[in-house]
Amino acid sequence: MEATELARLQFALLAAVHFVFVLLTLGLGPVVAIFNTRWVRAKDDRALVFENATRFWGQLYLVNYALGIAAGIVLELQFGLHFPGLLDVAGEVFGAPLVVETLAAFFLESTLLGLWVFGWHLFPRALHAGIFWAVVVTGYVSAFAVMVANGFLRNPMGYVLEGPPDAQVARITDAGALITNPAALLSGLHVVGACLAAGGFVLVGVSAWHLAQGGLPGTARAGWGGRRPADHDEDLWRRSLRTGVVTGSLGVLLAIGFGYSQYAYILQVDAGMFADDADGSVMETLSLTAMGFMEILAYLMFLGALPLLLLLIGNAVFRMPRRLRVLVYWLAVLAVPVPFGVAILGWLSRELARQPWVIQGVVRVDDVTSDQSGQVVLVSLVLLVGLMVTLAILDWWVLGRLARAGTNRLVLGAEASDVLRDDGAGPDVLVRFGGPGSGASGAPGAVDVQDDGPEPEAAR
Amino acid sequence: MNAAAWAVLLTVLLVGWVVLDGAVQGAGATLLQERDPDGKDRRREPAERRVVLAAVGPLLLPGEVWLVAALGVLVGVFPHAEADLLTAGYPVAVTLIGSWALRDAGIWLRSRRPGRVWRDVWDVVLVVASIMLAGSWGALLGVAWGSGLVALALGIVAVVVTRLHGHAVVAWRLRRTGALPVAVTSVMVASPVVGTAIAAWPRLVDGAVSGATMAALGIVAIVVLPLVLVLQAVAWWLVSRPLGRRDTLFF
Repeated sequence: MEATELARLQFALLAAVHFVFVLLTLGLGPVVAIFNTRWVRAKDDRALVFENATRFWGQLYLVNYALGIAAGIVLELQFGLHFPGLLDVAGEVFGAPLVVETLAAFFLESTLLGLWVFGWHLFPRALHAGIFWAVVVTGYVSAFAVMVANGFLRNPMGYVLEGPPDAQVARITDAGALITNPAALLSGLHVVGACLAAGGFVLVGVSAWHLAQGGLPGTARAGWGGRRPADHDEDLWRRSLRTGVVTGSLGVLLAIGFGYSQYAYILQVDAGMFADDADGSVMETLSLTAMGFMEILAYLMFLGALPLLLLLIGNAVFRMPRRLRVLVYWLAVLAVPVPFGVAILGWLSRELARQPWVIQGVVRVDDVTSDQSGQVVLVSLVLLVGLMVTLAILDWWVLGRLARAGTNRLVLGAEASDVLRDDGAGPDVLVRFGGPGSGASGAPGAVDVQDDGPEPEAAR
Repeated sequence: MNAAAWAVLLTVLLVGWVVLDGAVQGAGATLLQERDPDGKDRRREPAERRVVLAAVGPLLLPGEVWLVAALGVLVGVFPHAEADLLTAGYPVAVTLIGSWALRDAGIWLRSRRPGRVWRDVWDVVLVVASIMLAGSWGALLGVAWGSGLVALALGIVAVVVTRLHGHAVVAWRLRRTGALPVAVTSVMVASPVVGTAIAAWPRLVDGAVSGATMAALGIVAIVVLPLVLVLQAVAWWLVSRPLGRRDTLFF
């Protein structure tokens, strides 16, 4: 393969890895924020259920977010490494939304997320929940800025080409048109739907797995399920499953609705774009195939979500006869990867349809690729893609183990001394963190506190 | 904002990154070994490593965003400088992003499983990736000088000063020392960045985008930066407290 194709393949594979993590970040974010808020507002013993829900789903959110950032950083540098010509021509139009994304949205998002994790025992509860809402909002702004940049490539608007024919540079003429580009706005809402669907399916799948286990008192019994959850854990999984069914259904509806609304501009943009190019026509076939599979799977998701939505009435999904219940639960577990696969297909369909153009109808990919030889690009492809795929698989394995462990030994929001005791810390280390048996602690004014009872966490 | 103002902002963002993330790199590089007061190297116990990661943990998320933001400014305002730098320093840049991803994965994943082997392997990965990250960053600065020798020298300097910096921040959080060593090592890690910015200044400023775009993006920067700085100040406050019972040991 030539350097151009290898560079394109490298970008596509790294973008796919990044995209899968972003889906769950954006899909799970609002759910964690809602649980956090309900924890703050809860007065009775439901507070413990919502606290555990915040900590459990928050921990999955964070472990998923970690790889999302890493993959995003690797992706951001791809433009400079392999497509410097794109920045030469459209650095201004394409780069501007990326500056907004990094400088405004991501900078705030990541700083806020750090405050949420590490200020857990320091900020008032309501402020702490507010910080997570801000993480969610900045995350969505960040995603929209990326959609504006990508929308410009798919359907260039609000710009003009200046300069001599061999060194043309794109300048922004209408920032409003750039932002309200249907390829940014409609496609952005379509992606929001895909994110909520992914978050919802994960929520339902993980909760269903726990409800299907024999370990929970209310579910172990043969015959009909209990009207009320038997304990805090079962309450948590029931609430999570209900939340997941609602957000997942909403997501599928949004994704399908805004999927169709994109046809108007896509047909207009693509009119007469493919036919003149052999490479382009292969890509067109691939793009349409991906789109076909995406639509079939999206309808299957809709057909799966609808009965679950109906089964929420009267909590029927938890009260059906055991064999039927367990069957439904296992189907929900098996459905977890589906929204991710559908989203990848949708993204492939969009990006392949643009080939061989990098900016639809304006600049071709092979005109902007760097002068690196094919071998050099191949080496970096094997190194970077190999590294990111390995890390992604490890991350998913860890996510799976954390999901299985449930509310057992949650680290997020735990007391420092509990975490360190699990690591085998001796009294000399624990004394700093106010562990049992120590007279003093690191916090000022907390000298001579006797800490031999349970940590305040259990008391909450 | 004109090209000079954007170049100053870029330098500030890079200095922010080396000072904040440099502490994480330094602590990562020295995670397994500690030098006793009598000068002997000693292997750190698992709980001690957890304390080191707790000391610099709150710096990771608010720290690495500075480099992401700097890269955003490079792409958006100085696209030619970015393309030139990454073309000339291609292998160094690939090493930088590879070791960055590996370092992040090491910090995030090592404490997520209880197994001893799992953690020991990640700790070694963390040490190697932290050293490679610091070294490749220094070398990339050297590429901006246009000399392989400077790249090698700055790579070695970066590895050494981040170690000192990480050690100083951990000691300060444990209140074994005051804040003065941290201030000294911060200047040490920042000086190669400032020096490179001065050396590369003319080429950087000439390659900026058009005035209208810089002005439009400048409005975004001026609106957002105060908010970013307030939040960063709160994050620094978290780190400036002595490590204790109200800290969260997530990493």
